[in-house]
Amino acid sequence: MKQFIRTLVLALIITLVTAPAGAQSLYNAAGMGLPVEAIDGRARALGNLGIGLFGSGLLPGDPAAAGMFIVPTAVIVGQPSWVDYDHESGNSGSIQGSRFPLMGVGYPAFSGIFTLSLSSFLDQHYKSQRSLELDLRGEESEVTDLFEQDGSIGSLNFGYSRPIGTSAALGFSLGRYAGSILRRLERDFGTESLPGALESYQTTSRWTYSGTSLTGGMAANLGTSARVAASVTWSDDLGATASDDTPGMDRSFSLPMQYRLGTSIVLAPGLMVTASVIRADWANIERDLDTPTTVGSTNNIGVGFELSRANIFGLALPLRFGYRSGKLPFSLGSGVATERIFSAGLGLSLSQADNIVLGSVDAAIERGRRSGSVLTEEYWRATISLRVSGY
Amino acid sequence: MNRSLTPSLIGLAAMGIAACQEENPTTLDSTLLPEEPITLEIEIPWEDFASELEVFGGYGAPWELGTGVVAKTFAEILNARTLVRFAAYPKVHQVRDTTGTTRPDSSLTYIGGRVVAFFDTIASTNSGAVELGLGATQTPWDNRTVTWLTAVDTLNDLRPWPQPGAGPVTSIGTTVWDPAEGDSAWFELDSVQVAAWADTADASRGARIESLTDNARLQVSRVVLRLDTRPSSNPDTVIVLSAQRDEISFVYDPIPEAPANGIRIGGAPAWRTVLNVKIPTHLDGPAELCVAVGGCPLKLKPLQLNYAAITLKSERGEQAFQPTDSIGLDVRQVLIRDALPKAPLGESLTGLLGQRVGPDAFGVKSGTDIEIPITEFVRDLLGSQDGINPTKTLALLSVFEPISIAYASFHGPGDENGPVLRLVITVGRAMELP
Repeated sequence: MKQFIRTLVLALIITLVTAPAGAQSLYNAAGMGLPVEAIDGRARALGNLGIGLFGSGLLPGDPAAAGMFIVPTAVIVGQPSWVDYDHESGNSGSIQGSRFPLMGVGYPAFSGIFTLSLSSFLDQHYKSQRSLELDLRGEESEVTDLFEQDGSIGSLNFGYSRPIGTSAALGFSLGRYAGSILRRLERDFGTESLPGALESYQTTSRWTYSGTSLTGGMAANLGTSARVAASVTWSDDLGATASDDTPGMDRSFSLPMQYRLGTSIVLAPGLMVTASVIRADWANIERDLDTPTTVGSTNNIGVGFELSRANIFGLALPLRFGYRSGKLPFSLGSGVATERIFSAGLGLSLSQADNIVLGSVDAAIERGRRSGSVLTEEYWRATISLRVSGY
Repeated sequence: MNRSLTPSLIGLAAMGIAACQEENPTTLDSTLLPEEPITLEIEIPWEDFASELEVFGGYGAPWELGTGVVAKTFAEILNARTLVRFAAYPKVHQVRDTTGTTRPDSSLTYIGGRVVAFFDTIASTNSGAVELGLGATQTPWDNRTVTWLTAVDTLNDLRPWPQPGAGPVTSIGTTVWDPAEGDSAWFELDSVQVAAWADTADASRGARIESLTDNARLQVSRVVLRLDTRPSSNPDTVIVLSAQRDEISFVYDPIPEAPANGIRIGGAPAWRTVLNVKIPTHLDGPAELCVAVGGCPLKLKPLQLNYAAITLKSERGEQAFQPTDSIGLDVRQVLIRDALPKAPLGESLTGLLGQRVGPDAFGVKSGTDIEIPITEFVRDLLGSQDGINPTKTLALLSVFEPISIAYASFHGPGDENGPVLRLVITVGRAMELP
């Protein structure tokens, strides 16, 4: 137990030191931002949407899976990405960033597992600028408006899962949305900082987010060859409260019900296939948005397979491949943007005792493409998750 | 497990660090910016931001300039003369004797010399040759208080010159300075005069340089005494040594009168113009602004102010005191107006060099708008007053006092040429969430 806590603390320190949440897409600028799924490296590699995978897991979208744990467990996920974008205006470029979409712990008590996790939900960080000409002090001057939106929404989830019999589990989690958004506009007059120069103009507005979600789910093993899991997440309105010095108004946004279904089937020893779907209808949020935004439903599907017999130096080294596709809830331009991803990855069991994995690393690499009517992004995204367990 | 976990954690951190070189997504779609803020230029007339204009003179004295001025009926009125005292002569000098050995010689004999005057060719008004005269003063004078009429004006000691204009003098000689031939002119001295100026205890000693040519105003940048010396160790050789000037000042006439309604900055002694300012905290216009922000009055916030400047319109001052070089204008807060003219001043609001204004603004280009930025001052005022609108007193002055015999002149309040407060403000609409 002491070892478990020490490792957990070390992982958290490393996370805090290295990981200011980084923006990873220009689609952050659309509507309420780009969803960031709280999924670990194994699910990423398998193209899975975070539900229905064999074994135990600490995924917010699959609360029942935690019920399969029998020992204290912690997981942390890191995710750098490198993005090339191409805008219809002819401009193109690249961006990169990293984030830690999931940190969580599970602890057995009262015949089940209590879980606490911090997960990402929407990424809203982006910058923009425009240039214009103004007649100032008798001269035509070029000024630049620089805008930065720095914000994200995450969720703090507290849950409980317990096994039902030997082959099923139920779980639920109560989530609290948290986060903030800072919108800063600066007008730069492009003059040097000398007496006589024009000072730039700045204005900022800040909101803090709040809201509640409830997720319930179940998972069942059908013998030793299949698992089926389902979950649903209900959210009340996401509130955005303006800070005292912000002239903007308080707002609230309707969040959709999210339905998830996933399954894993062992077709042969060492070969498992998985499929999962998620549906969320974001239509109701459209009326809450002041800025005209293309809003769509997310009907995502993911499939993949795992070859689990591979090993290296005596350690299991499962190989995973996957594919997923879906739509983004918010898009730039008129059409709904889509996303498709090919993925691959592997797992490395670092320590195992009595069929219980005490330490493992799961890595995934994804090649993805988001495309809409005005913007296309192609990206590489790596996901590494570390899971530690201990008595 | 320890051995495996630690490298894994480090690997995770390394990956995070590797990708932590963030390149934030910058959208190219200008529609994703909030509505454009409005940037407006506003001119507030004198009566709406300032009052109680006063001009004070007498700051500093000519000797503080470290230069001199000579003029004769320049612009028909100005006469100026430069007074110089030289430091003690060198008493010892390294001299090569007749055997070729260099050794200190303390028995120097001064057999003559010359006063060399250097002129500032830009600040001087003449383009042709000017005849100059050199005389030796006969009356004790005090470098710090000397004027055209008084030789000494210290505490309980007021002694006028026997002749106005630092006279009388013993004439030493004349010379001609032609700027086409160089920047200096010299006057030859005989051994008697050299010996007379050697007595540093003599308060009447000194040289007076004057112009003998009408309608010229020259600025003397430096005066040096070159001494012809015969050393005892090698009497066949004449060595030229230098005695630096110890004190320099100038006297002039007439002293200009304070302007009735104008603004004056500079001069020697220097002029300052003081005014009370009351920065408006709310704006009632222009209409474009009121429409954009949904109605007036608009409370002005510090960060909405991009620029604030007192704008003066230059005018041609008295020809005799017309600037011939740039003048650096400064603005400082007067901390206690009631203590004027000796009120303490705050820090410069314009920086080290001030707002430079070329001499043409007071001549061929008179009527030019000269802006003296006070943005930070106004921002601080708006930030600190919290709705209250206190009156502050500002002094317009030259960056260095005194800066030259010339001064800058500007139109005062009362007509369309009066000072205005020019503001550039930017007001943004409330930024809302998408």
